Amino acid sequence: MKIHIGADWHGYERARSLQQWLVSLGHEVVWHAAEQFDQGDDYVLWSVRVGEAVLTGEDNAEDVKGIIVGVDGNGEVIAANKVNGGRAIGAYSLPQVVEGRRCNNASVLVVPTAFCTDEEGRSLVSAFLETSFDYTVDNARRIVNTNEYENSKTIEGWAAADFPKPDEYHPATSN
Amino acid sequence: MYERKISHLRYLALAMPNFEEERDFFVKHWGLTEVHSEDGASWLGAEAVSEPFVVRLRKGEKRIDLIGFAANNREDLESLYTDLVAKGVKIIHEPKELTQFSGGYGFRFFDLDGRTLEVSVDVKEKAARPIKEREPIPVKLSHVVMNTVDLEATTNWYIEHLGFTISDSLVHPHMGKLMHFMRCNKAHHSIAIVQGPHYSLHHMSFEMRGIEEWMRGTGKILRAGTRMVWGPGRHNAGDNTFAYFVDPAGNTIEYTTELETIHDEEAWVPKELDVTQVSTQDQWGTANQFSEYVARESFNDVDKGMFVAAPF
Repeated sequence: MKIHIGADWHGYERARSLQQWLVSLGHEVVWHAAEQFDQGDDYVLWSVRVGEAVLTGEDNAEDVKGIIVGVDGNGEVIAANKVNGGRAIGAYSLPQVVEGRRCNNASVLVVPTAFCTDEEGRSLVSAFLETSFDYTVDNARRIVNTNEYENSKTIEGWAAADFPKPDEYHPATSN
Repeated sequence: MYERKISHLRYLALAMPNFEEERDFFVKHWGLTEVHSEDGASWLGAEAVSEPFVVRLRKGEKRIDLIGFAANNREDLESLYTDLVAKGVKIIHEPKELTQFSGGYGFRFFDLDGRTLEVSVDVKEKAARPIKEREPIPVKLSHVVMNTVDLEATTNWYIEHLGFTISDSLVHPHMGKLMHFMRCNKAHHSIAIVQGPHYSLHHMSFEMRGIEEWMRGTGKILRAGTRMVWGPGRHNAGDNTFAYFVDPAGNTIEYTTELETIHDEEAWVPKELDVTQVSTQDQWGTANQFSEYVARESFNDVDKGMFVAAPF
């Protein structure tokens, strides 16, 4: 798998360690953060670069994911999701990461150094890389509806404020 | 069962004033490949099929130029031609060597309503390659859907003249029959006919490799600024996933996957799906506010090409 990795100064060392580990597992890892440790550098640029690289890879049919390392991870999630089509989640527990892949087709994982040890971080990343999206139309619809809103401010052609009331519109909700 | 002489849907030829914009959209964003171009016209192929092209675009007043089908072989083509002449079908030209890109041998005629149809054989096929895993481009043209003002008359014409078979239908308890899905091979439908306010293209649909490719393609096309009008979801008729968009010429276009295959045609019983009972996903043209929006988009502009042969 091609894995784009980024981090600010808080996550730099942990990201370098993850990079080595992922390479040892046979992944192609692309480094997007500062080449050398850069005290005080911000997460925004690295987060956006990882998000953009993942989207470009998706458009080019690559088997691709992104990993960003931060302190609490919140800013990185917000920044990476500003990339059009971005699907970044924080890594806070194993079941939550598994659901993020299975239901949300998350493409970028933000590892928070404040909330996980090195070993826990690696197992969260493993779960992220190994869990497949479930390929149900219901989950696909939610992702595509979100993507549509992002681009046109509509959901299935409707502005959110004008969306038909439930008695006029019954989307299939089998789960 | 009537012995079918049509083997499959070949291509849809369209004309539009904003030809360049439409061509760029299909090549840059939709995922077709330009295989040939002439002044004001473009032939677009799908990577995964050897069919020389699946869409032809031409600069001109907006219309369906023609719908192209393949015959099983030259003998069936000649036989179909004789049959259509005997039935009084308006012929545009008799079977001959075709001069447009990819050549072949074929004839053109008008259907009941005046759409130009072509049946051909022996076209010069192109190289094809399998669509890669995760590649967000169409495998092939899946089906073409047309609006008509007399659903039963048009449907029966395709059954009696070209050997199509109804696979499933959509019906409404008050409005009656709304749409027939029709096959000419084991694919659940290659064409469909919809009761509309006028003659026009309802939509054309392109098959993606699978759900992953369908999702990636949908994301890509949304980011290109394309307006989405319906979906994504899964149809009851045909069991295929769908996502509908509007192209620069105002035609509705679909990415689909997993269209049902009818393995045993003898055992297949066509269903009449009540659109008020099935999920909203299939409510083409029904009365509620939501589907009126979808229906209006898919009514499309009035086709100016009825009983007017395309210039080439």
